Amino acid sequence: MSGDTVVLLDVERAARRGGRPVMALVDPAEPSDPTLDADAADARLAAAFPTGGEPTFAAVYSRWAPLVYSTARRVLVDSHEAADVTQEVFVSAWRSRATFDPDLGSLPGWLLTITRRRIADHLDRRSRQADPTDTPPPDSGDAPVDEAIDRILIADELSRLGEPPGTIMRLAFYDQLTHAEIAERLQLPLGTVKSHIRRSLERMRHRWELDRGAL
Amino acid sequence: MAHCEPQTLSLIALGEPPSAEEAMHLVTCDSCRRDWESMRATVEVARDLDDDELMSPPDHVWAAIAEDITESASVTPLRPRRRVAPWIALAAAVGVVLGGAIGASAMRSAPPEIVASVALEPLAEYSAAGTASVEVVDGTEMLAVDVTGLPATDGYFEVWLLAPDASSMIALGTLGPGEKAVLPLPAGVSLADYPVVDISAEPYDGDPTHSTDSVVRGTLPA
Repeated sequence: MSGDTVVLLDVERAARRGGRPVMALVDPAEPSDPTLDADAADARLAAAFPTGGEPTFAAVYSRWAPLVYSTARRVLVDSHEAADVTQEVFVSAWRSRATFDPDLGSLPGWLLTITRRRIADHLDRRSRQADPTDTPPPDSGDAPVDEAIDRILIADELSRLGEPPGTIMRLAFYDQLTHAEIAERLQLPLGTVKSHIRRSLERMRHRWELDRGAL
Repeated sequence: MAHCEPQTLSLIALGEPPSAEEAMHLVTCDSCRRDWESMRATVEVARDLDDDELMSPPDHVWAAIAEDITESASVTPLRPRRRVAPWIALAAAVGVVLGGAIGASAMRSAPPEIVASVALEPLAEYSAAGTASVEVVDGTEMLAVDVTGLPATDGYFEVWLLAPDASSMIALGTLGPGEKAVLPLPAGVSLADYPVVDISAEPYDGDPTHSTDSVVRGTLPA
């Protein structure tokens, strides 16, 4: 089974949560995935966003503002400026929410596109303040923003893994334990640990590709 | 050998040693190597994350956003110039167009073509709600508004089209006691420039500008 097939099945399962036939296509011995509820909640929020009122917007903010703020803070360093960017992004998102089409892209991807523009504005302003006669360099560097977004999306996915996958991945990443050591530490079957590791990594990679794809 | 199992590739990406056979396969198989490299890139980023990589913005940010979006909702306009005829002429025009439309529909019963419509949502403390739609009646663009739950007033209600940032606006006409109105859109007005339908409560003070007391609002889709 190639990696792509696994990803499609995960998406399919998220879309038809609780659909037994689809579950059965995946290895029935696999442990259940606690992040599917979170995925479904995100999808509902994104679907409600373009026509929703302030309560929906407030929920969108609390779910995704950390991504916007953390990206801006990583690139701009100054936390006040990062707060300004976050405010600009969400005010602009509120005003143009009707233009967001949940069928065409992910909502965090859309928000991060606006974030990227606002960050560019701030960097632009900075370089003009530094030397007003200086024209900004032609490609003043998407690279730091790209890198920041990569990190933040992976951090976000890691924070949403639920348990036990969250603990398993932290032991694998930061304590550098092997899957056998993790299985022993958590008293879980080897196959369960391997399966969580495979699925969590696929999720992190896929999420990253999905939300960056919208940029 | 057959392709590496995705589970095995994940473990190798995390740094567990491949078997000799798997290592050999990764050298020769582009597909498995690409999967492995992409997972390894994810692992590398994850291992490099700071503890505070993902931080929530300070509370004052949401407070400022909430204020901004509610403020743009309650409008602090810069004394805009009214761009339509005095209300008597307007009322006459509405009467003529409406009369024409009713006459035509009585004969033809052709339904108006609805070009765009939007739900009107209450602002501030109000609980009124309704719909606004742009209809083409006999080639003339009209804005039909239908609102229920308007508050009691000593004045009257006025229908406006606003620019998205409420920096400029066009008064379309008043809303009758039956809470429904079909108002002609001035020719040449671009709904892209004035997409926001706004209904304000106006006192009888002779001031033709927006009272800043908006009751419901909705933004027509582009």
